[in-house]
Amino acid sequence: VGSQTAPSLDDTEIAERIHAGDRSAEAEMIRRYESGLRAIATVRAGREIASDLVQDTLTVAIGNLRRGEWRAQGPLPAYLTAILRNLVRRSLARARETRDGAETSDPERLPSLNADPHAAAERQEARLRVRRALMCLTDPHREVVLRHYFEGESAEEIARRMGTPRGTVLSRLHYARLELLEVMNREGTAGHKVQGSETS
Amino acid sequence: VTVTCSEPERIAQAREYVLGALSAASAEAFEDHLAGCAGCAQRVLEQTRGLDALVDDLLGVGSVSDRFVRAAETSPGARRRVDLWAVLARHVLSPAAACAYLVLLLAVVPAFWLLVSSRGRGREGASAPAGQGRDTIAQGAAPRPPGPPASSSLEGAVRLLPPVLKVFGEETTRGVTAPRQGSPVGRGENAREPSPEPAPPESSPRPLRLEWPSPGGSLLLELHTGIDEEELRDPASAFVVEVWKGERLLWSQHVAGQSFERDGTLRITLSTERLSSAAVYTLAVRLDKPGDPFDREVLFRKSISASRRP
Repeated sequence: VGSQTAPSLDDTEIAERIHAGDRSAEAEMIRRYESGLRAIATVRAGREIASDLVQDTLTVAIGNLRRGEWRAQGPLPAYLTAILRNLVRRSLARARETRDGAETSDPERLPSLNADPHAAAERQEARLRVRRALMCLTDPHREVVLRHYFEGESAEEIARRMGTPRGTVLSRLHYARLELLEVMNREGTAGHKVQGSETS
Repeated sequence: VTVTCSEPERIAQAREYVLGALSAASAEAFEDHLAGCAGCAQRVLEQTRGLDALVDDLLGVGSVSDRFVRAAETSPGARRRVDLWAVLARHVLSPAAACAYLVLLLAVVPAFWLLVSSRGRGREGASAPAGQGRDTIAQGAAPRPPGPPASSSLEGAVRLLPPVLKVFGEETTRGVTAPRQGSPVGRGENAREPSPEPAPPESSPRPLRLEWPSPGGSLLLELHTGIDEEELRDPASAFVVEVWKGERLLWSQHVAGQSFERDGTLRITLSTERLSSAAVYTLAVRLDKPGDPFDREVLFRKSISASRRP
């Protein structure tokens, strides 16, 4: 269940006040959208670099609003998420270049992140692989995994809600982990083959 | 004024969004909502913590870049396939290995002939042990027996074969690690809380010394854990293989009981590239059986010191 604070200022007013140099309007925009942007950045790029991306997004957006470059062409949240998505794409591309050994001479493209972008990209890649592997699980296995890891339910709770013995829940959880590892290993092996054929 | 965002579809969307199950258009539409909804944002962040807990469980507590040991494959069938083809591709089908086999053949046949002929003549001391070169490699099995070194051609040839090190654990007292309290399943009270940090296993008084020729490669370790077959076959049992460097946990991996041999042997591959010389590492296998009084107990432990032979 979520909650959304009704704005005392609408987005157009916020934009106009920021353009006029009102710092409190900037603070209001940050307060209103920071947590949502952080959630998006966490999903798209990983929590390791989410804070940096949110900060960069808000910096870019406030700079644009100060210059009056946003004229309420669309909802302000959509404008902010569009900036964030672009920054995520650039960040991931930069991490890939770093991993592949490419060098950059553009100072604007030098990593400015606190976290190690290469490690963050690897971690995010692992998350994506787990996500894809989850889709390959059978329904009973996936349900147990989602309830346990995503809802924080104990084996007893899961057993009660699903009407199955606790041992069955533990067994499903156990075999679901094995299945996930197998799918991820298969995917990793296939990835190597694809990479090898491309380079040869 | 607070607008409640309680639509069930939003709640379902949050999970689908985290799982990557939404189409690109749906994901962007949800993000436009998410940017301004603190409640949905909190829910999404909780779900990402669940995903991270799952990733940690599957890949171990270390980051992916810290992974320098690959655990044995998760199913015995997969392990057999990988072992067979890996050995064939790496060691049998390569030209270097073929040359080594030729040298080995040229060395072994005369040695065998000499051995047979010397026994026939009743002489002693001519039984140059063909297995001595292997003992040099399998340092985990037993200390090298005293005696004359094997012939250099034989030793050099054998070293090209995949080194399989038998590692026997030291005696471990049950109950070294205190059982966790009140955790019925999973890591910690629930998946969102960090796991309690496992205590490092005690280091061995005499670590097993591993050496490998430069530039190294992979070592196949056979951990003779001695874990009961009954424990291994229990579906509720899982195990965690850990590599410690002093007090620091470098790597861990969940391993199912199926990955062990019936006698409790577990094979892991150790990549020597990430091992530092003159450092002592401790290999440990813990029980991961939530609810069991001996959950997280160290069942196997062996310290190794690694050095690269110039």
